[in-house]
Amino acid sequence: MDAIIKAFCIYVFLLILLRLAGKRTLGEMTSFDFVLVLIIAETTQQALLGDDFSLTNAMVLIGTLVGLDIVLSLMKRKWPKFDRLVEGVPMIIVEHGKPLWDRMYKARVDESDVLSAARELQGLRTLDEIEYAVLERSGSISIVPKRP
Amino acid sequence: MTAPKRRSEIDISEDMAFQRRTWQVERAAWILLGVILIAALLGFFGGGGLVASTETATEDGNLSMQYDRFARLAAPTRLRVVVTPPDESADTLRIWLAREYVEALEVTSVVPEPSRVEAASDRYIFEFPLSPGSETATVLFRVEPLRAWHVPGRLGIDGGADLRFDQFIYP
Repeated sequence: MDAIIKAFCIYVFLLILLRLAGKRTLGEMTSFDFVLVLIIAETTQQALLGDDFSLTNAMVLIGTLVGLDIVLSLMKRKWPKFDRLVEGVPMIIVEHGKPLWDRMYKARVDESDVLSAARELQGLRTLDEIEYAVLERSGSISIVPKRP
Repeated sequence: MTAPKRRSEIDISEDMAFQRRTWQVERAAWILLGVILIAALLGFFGGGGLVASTETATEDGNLSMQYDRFARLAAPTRLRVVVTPPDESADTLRIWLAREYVEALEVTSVVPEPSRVEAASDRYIFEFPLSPGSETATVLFRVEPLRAWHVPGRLGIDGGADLRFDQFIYP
């Protein structure tokens, strides 16, 4: 019983915290974000397991976490508003080659992030070659190049 | 800014009103997180700090104790009890802890080691050897809470004064 409550609390806590930290926090992982994920995983693991290292406890915990994930995905499908609340909405940050500065500033994305995505995804050289850049719900940037 | 023509060009479920609300909530949450971290630093969530530890004493000052007002489940914490022995020639000191309190935690060690522990219906009495002629004696109980939320405690000298204290144990 204890394990299920713990797993539930941690799941909901991380869901809310990472959502409130903003998309960019773990969406596009820098090497430091990777370290952060490792530390979060390690800390969480200690609190979840406590001093019960039994196989049963591990299975109950994993089962609970996967179960919660399934429930969350079903809830998101059932209630689009809930989906929007949990995942956020995509947002255009470059339009016809022009960066929308105030949006980028608020979303903590800068020109170099957009250019890096443009190079990686489409092999583009300048902002001018971008028709749209979209900050996706996942926190990654997608690029639509201008039609030749 | 939100030009309607965009819809036809790129099929995207953009919602700037929602996005702006999200940003507002995000900023508020950052401030809240900062406040929570400062509170944690001060010790409001246990784990040591200015606010976490406190002291209480009887009116005559013969019995005093230092304890953690805020502690955490299964994390070690301690009670530091300072007693002025009622009788200078006494060679034992008898301190009791309420049974209900002892049941809410695990006593991992007691310094000095008690020479005997007695169980009474509502309390456990710890008897310690006392160096004769000592003005005060200090006893340390190292404990680990087993129960979360509010844990009331009571501790006293056998046949003498007693102290009530409250601990809040975070899960």
